[in-house]
Amino acid sequence: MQNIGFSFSQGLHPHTRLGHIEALEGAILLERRQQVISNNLANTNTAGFKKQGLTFEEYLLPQIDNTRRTAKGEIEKTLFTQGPTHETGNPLDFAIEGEGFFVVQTPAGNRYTRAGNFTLDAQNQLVTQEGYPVLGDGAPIILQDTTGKGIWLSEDGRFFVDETEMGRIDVVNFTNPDGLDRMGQNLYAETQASGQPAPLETVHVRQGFIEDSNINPVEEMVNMIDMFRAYEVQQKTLQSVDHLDDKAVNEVGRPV
Amino acid sequence: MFRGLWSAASGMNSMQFNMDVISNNLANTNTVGFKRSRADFEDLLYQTTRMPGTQNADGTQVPTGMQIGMGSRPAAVQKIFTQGDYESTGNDLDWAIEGRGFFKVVSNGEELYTRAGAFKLDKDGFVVTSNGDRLQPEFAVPINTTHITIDPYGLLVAADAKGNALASAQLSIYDFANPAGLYSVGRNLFRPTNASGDPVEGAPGTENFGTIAQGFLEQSNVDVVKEMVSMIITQRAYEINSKSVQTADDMLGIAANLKR
Repeated sequence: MQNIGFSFSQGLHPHTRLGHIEALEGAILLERRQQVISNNLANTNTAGFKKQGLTFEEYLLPQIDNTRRTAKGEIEKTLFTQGPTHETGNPLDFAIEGEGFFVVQTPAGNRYTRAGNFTLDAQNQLVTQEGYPVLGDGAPIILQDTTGKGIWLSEDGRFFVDETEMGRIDVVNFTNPDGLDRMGQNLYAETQASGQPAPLETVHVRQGFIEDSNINPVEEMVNMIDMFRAYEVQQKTLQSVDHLDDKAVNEVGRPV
Repeated sequence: MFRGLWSAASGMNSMQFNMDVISNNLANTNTVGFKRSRADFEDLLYQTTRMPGTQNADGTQVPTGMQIGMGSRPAAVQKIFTQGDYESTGNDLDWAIEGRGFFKVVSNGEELYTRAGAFKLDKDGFVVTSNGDRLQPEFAVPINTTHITIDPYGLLVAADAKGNALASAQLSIYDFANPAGLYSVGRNLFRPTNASGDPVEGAPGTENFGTIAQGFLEQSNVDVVKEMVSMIITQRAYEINSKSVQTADDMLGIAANLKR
């Protein structure tokens, strides 16, 4: 989350009302930042979770009383860096190495996920923990292990049951993964901004592994301290502006 | 108010839940035929303040949206049916299934399934579990029996001191499409559910069924080191989530102190 830098216009504003507004806007943005950090930390143990970061952008607002004003907007960015994978030994756990998403069929349409902690349902279909089928060659994958020799997945995503190939697990990517809509339940949905899902040419899937959350607790704690101190500064700014108002109202023009 | 406060609380809840699962695994380190569980988590709904792909005032498309998460929650507790280690006991009535399959027993009139093969004999000579539930199909050992043998393919023979077979039976074991979907009743017993599928009957050593090893017990598949590491991670995650709560609380304090 290196790219999150933010600065606040320091110094007192010639127009005190604007100073109020800017400090207030700053505080609201910081509260939102706290929410994003909290959500990241709450998902420390969520398989396939991708952390979010906020970047602030500054833009010009119409001038008031010949004073140049800027406001800060925010852009939320999902950081799709690889999370650490850990071995589970469970043959129905899969981790994607590098880019890509598994395709999951839900009643609301296809969804995409990095969480490969799958299981089988009563129809021998490969499903997510929510029971949504995982797609391979565009259809639910049925893995009937009749000989007890086990279910194997080659690194390029082809399933073998009893040495018979059962199709290939779908792994897709998007031109702009940042534009994906986060649905909860470890699922993402495509949007106009993300573009259409396109199958990945080279797929690296590891069986018996799970991709952990890519959040870094140290980084998040530092971000939290940073955010907290900035929030304090906003409070001081508001109090200073208030103090100036106090002087203007109660001291300027007082008969000596 | 601060949504971050609730997100952090949900994180603490998830970690507490994880701790419950880990504790139960550790408590069953020495339980015959026990299968460890794993808690899986998922992120909660997102509050979307700006949808990715919408158009802004200038008519250009917003490449990224603005979505604030609400924390995490437990998604599932999955039983991991990996093979446990075998312990040699030398006891005629300790049977381990090598590979897939479950023994069927009748407990309180209900058909239930178990991997715990530490069987005993009851007063009528029936093969029963430690709780007295009879193994199916029922097998009564005749009075003069001195040896009970079961071969890897499930042929059960009761013989007298001279080696004459007094009674014999063929043992069936049962398998499920999705053992992880079984319902844990406790007492090492499992009940079939819609998620596990119906039990499929078979003789040991045929098709995908495992074989029977007499004189062995299948140990719990809990790996103590793994569980301890999970416990450390869980405790730390709980701790940092509590820091989020503290920070949100301090921020609320600052906001409240704006008014002098």
